[in-house]
Amino acid sequence: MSNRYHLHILVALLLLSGAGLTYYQHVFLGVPFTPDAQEEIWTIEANLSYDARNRPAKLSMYIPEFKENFQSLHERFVADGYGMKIEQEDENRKVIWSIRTPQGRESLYYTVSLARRTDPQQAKRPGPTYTQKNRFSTAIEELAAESLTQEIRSKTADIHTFVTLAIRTLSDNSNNNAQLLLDKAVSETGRASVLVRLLSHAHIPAQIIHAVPLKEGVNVAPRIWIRCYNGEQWLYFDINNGDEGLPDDMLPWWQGDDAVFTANGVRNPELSFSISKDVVNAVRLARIRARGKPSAFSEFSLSSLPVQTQIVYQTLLTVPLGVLVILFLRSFIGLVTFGTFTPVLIALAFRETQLVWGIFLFTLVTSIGLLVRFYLEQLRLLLVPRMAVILTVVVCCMGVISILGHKLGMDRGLSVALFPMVILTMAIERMSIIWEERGAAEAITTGLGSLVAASITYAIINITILQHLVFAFPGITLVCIALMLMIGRYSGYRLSELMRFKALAK
Amino acid sequence: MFNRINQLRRQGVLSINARNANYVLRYNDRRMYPLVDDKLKTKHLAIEHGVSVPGLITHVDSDSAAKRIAEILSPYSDFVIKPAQGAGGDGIIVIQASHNGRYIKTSGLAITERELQHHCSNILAGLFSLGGHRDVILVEERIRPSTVFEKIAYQGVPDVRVIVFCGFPVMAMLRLPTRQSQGKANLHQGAIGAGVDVVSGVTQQGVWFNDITLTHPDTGNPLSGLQLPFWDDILELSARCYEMTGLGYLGVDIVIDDSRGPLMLELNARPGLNIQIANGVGLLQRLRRIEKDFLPVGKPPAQLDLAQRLAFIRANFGLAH
Repeated sequence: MSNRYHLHILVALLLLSGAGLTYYQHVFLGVPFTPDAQEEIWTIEANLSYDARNRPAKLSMYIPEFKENFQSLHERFVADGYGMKIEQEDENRKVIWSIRTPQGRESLYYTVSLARRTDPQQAKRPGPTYTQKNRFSTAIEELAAESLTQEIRSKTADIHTFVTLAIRTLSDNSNNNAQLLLDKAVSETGRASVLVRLLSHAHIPAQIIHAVPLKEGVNVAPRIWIRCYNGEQWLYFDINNGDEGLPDDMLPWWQGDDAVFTANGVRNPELSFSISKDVVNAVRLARIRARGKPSAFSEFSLSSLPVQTQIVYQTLLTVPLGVLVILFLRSFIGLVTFGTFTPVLIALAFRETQLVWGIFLFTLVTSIGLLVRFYLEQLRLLLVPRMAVILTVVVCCMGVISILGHKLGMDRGLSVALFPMVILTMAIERMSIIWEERGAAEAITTGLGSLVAASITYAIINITILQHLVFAFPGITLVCIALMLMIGRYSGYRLSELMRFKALAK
Repeated sequence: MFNRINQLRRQGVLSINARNANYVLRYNDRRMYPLVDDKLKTKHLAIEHGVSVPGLITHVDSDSAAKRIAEILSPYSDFVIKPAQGAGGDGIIVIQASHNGRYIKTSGLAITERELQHHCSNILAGLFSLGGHRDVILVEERIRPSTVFEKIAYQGVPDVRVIVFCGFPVMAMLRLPTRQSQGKANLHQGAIGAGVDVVSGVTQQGVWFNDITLTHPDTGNPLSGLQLPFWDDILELSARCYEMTGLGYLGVDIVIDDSRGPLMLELNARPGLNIQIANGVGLLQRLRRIEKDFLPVGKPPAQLDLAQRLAFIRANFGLAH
């Protein structure tokens, strides 16, 4: 009895680890369940150029931090001859380039490839509190701000509505208080800066966020958003209409009211963003992602093998699946076949020949082999030499079919070369013995059984999605083992037995 | 479909999967398989245990000896040639007479000395053995079937198949060769199986392939109502094969020789299931009964001697019950 628990525990362990592994790969490494799932990779190129003034130049530029919805896959800084350093400044990351003797028009590049995170997470930074530095400078502005705050507060319920209404009020040309505050600030940045101060006045911590929209194009301009901290998380607001929420194609680049770059000792500095999009196979993307996450698992993946070997394993890993199908056909249906796993090997050959051609070629080769076998019977050869002759005839036969097929322009005929000839030879020998000992009917039944089993196995291992699943998720193979173990203890009737024992059904 | 499953369950019909998983794998120690798979070993073991078997003329295990087979067999006019590890009666040739270098089979057809040699080399090369291993040729004395079978046997030698479970002969049938089976007593090849009341030894209805038949297809005579001779000896002989091999789930094939009586022909570690159709009774109910009474879970099995086992069978498994 403990034996039985043993099996149950083993099956449960295999199922759990198989499912767990698959879940981990899908959710944390982003391996997709469908082979053709596509994901977008964005490549942003920031090009900072300037005219040199024959004196040392120092340029700094904010670069994104990738804390929330996006993940950087690859970052590159192209600046030949420059000293370079990356600094963390408050909540911004910045790159500083410096050079002693720049010449002519110089160009510096920052290129980053990024993709969406599979497990988006809220940044776990401590939220800021409102600071004294964001104050209005004159008493009259303070007064106007106080009056505006009162007005807005009376019409709103919480931070969400307060900020939205504040943005709309500032855009309202007929509001005197708003116009007074905006006085010198007509640009978007100016307006945002006023808004931050207004919100600070209302004791709401707020920041300006510059985000780059992920749209293909050159000279893409960053856009301004306001974000407020509600004590738990950042809330984003569109500075133009007060709508809440950052669209998911916006990449936050830097925060604060400073410009994106500063340049000392240069003339005509310019910065342009150009953005391109790549659609890549999600499996490949998962692989790139996994590279960034050093884990024993991604190291120990079939994807780390050379491509040629990977292709071999893509085929090999369908074998357990095929074997599972055969187990099912034998244990539950009761199909009789030549040899246990012969149909799996034939099914693998069918993958190359396609089903109809496969069946035709298999029947052709087997029939010719059988004819030769019957002829050889008269010569009374010993078993092993006879099998050797049949094997050779099978090989020749395959060669002739390939040549004929090629000459007739049917290149499918070439794929006959992939048939497992040793297996075919054994099948021919077994079939001819059954033919002699038990009659043609049983031999043909068994032959057909093998062909049916091979066709069903082929149909299943040829499902693209299953091929993808067994290759991409080793956990699935563990689940296969669990299923095989369970079938190993199945003691119920086979479908064929329901017919066989019909005389006993009362 | 589920209805049929329920019906078969109610009848206690043993399925292939259940036989393999719950009986063959559980009660048959794999190390003992060579004892039954190799007929030469079975024979030596049987002689050692005093179980009567058909006489062994000789065995041949070399190609040079196979070439001289005619010379070796020249003193004998009738004999049986069989592969030691053959299955399903394949590769067995029964010669009833030899005449001028030709050997006459029981079917009446003659084969030449060369054909006999070729057959022997095929046996040695493993053509008939499971897995194609090199094999040994057995030459046995020919059985002369008891005359009681004349009406219902077509050529060949009928035999009695007894399923022995842990020493209890739980079910039996008489296997009768037909024209279809070409003289072989194997049900898969078209032989008839007639159910036998394990208590009285009287034949019942028969099974041909998977269907019930009441008459022999070649002779047309009814199958039922025939009292098998030496029935008690047959039961005892089969039951003793359990002690001999240690295999808990065993098919014992017994032939009844006209002069020597019941002889153990061969053993089978995974006997077929159509015996259930021949008897119209499921094996599972009988196996379960014995497991319940004598093989309690987690306790050592009850030790019973031969007489006690046979008494239990007679008291419980008669068709009258």
